[in-house]
Amino acid sequence: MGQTGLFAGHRAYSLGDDLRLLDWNAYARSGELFVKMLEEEDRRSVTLLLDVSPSMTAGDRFVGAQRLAAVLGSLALAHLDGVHLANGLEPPRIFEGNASRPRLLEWLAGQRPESAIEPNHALATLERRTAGRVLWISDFAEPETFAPALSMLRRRGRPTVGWLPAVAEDRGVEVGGWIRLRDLESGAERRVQVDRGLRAALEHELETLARHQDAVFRGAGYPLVRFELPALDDHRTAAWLEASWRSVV
Amino acid sequence: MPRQLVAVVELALIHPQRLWTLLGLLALFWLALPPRPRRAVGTAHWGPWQRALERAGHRPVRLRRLRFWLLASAFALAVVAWAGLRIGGREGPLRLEVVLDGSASMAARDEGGPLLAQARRAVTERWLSLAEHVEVAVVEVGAGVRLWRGRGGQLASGWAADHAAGGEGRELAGLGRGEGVDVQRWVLTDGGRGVPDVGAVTVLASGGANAAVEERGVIDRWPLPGMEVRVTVRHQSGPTLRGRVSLEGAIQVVEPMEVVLEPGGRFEARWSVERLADGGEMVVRWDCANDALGADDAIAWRLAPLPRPRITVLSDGDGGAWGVAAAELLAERTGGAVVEAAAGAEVAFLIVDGGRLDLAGVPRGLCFGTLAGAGDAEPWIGPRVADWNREHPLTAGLDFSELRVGTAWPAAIPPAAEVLVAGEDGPLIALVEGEDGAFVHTAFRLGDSNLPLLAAFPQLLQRCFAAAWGATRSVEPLPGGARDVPATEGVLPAVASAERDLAPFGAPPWDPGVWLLALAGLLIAIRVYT
Repeated sequence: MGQTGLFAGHRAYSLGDDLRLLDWNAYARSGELFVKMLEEEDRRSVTLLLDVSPSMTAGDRFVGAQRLAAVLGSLALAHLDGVHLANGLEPPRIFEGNASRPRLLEWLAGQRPESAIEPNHALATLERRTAGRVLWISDFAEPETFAPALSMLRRRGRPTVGWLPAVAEDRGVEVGGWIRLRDLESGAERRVQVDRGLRAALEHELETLARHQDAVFRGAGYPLVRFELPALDDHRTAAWLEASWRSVV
Repeated sequence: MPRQLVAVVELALIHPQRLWTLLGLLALFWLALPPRPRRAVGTAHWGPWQRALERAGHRPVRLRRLRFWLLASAFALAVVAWAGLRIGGREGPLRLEVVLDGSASMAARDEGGPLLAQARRAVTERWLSLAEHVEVAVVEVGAGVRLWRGRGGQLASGWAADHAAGGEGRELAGLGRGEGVDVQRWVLTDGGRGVPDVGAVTVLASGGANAAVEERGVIDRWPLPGMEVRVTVRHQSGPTLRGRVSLEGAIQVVEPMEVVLEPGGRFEARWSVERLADGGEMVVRWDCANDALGADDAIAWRLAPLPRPRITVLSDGDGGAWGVAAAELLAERTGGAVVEAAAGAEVAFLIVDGGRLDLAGVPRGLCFGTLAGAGDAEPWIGPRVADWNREHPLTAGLDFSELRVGTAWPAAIPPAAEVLVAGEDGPLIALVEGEDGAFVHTAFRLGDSNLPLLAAFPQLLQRCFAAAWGATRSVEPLPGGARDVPATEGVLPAVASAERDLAPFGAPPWDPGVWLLALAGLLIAIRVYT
């Protein structure tokens, strides 16, 4: 995909920006480095970042994330020139045109949560060559890991939308009695007796986490969409996304 | 390791069947197992979960194995304490019952003093030497039954009080070992009522001799001072005794009698004495240096004082001199006094010779030919004595056959009088008894008869005087002395050698129950803390 598009302005150079976008004329005039912003580039491609960390396996979150990515990717192929798909483990894949939709869906279907994800893998992925608006699908479970990435995106002026496939586990625990609680990330386990007091305390902590997640995105100037996963046979999601493609993407 | 260096601690369980409760450790183990969760829940929010658990106070169980062993150990200690673990101890009786012979024979003395005192000293010495865990009960049987209870090394309150021996002894030969397997009995006796065949025995026989005083009777002639005392001194046990029997007290002084008592012999002592006017105690005492039992060597009475009557003579005619003489004789014998007849004077005894007199209000006296009432009967001239009452105390043994009467007045004898001397024509001497005394009436005046000249007159006079006072407790036996010593106690047993010492006492085992429970509580506390 080439470096074409209408000139949309300058922004200050940040470490990692594409050197081909440097405006040397502006440097000659001001002595400072500036990067050209091309408007068409934002419209013609998006970057889909799918979180494949083990924490995404909570409930139906990963399946929902895959379906959401499939819908968003399909819409991007239909309306834009292409879409970059990244999972943080391998170089981003580029898909262009509706003809590549089967390959896109095949790629998404083959994604599995990996237990050997390095922290801040999102940041490492986005620092590679990606283009367009960023659609980041994740549970954003640890704000300390995605906050630096958002800050980097903000510095580089990359529009970003966070998609959080919400599951019941994000609001509390439904079971009671003794359970064996297991951390999906580290594998640590603990026997826990779920009682009324613990439920209330957990709901409070999860609400705090949600507010923290919203605050981090709000601080970066980006929206965070909590996407309630529909049933597997519910097709209204795609219809809704189709109708609100412009405002969401 | 040589055997003698190994300390063997004896352990015993009172309720060994309770150790089956230790099977509950299996239940404890099962209960201590960590709960098996019904399901596994994966979470992407491990951090919020940990913080929620912290807020809810759910802490992870640490040191699970150590906590189980603390609980199991505490449970085992409690079960062992409940099973009645006992450590150490020594077999043997734990209680001592002392039967102390306190009968009168235990008052016998030897070089160590009274036998009962020696027995009490022996009990005291042993009591103080016993260990504190030994229970002591002392029963002294004699005149009564006394009981003391205490523990070894600590005398019971009241034990120090000295009690004298007394009463009749109890049969001791049939006493057993004492009820209960942990009791031993110790009998201290002089052997007078046998020695038990079992248990500990201490025989304190004095081996001494004894003679006892027995009362035979006291004839008292109160209100006259004369009295007659009869006692018997009986040899009870031991060899020949030489001593003296004395009568002393509120009587005229009498010489003691020297007595030699052969074994089994007896001595009858009799005194005719006169009491002192003030009365008091009178004691018969047997004094013998070799008499071991002094409790039965004396008998005492309390003598009432003589009445000290105020005697008045009223006379009408020449017989007054005889009346005065009679009054003076009576006053001298009874510690009284002859007083002048005066209106309103208090008189205890009235002698009237002749005349006419209303005797209302006069308790006692003698009337010789005194008329009562207003009428005069025809006199009897020269009445002869027909007979007299030979059985009546006033006239028994007296001879009135020589009584000559010149003139007798029938009206001088009250109608309901008891005839003492009867004449051919009627009663010559009669007795009238009242509530407070008695009057003797003669039908003739003293001057009209030869009664004052008869040998029977002084006797009759004294007897009438004595009879005039009626029945009075003039001699009262006093308790104590030989009266409180049964005859059987006077026979002192010979020295016996049938003695058996007390067996060693046992020692109760140590009960560590409280310490075991305290240790179990400490383990529980540690478990809670962890």
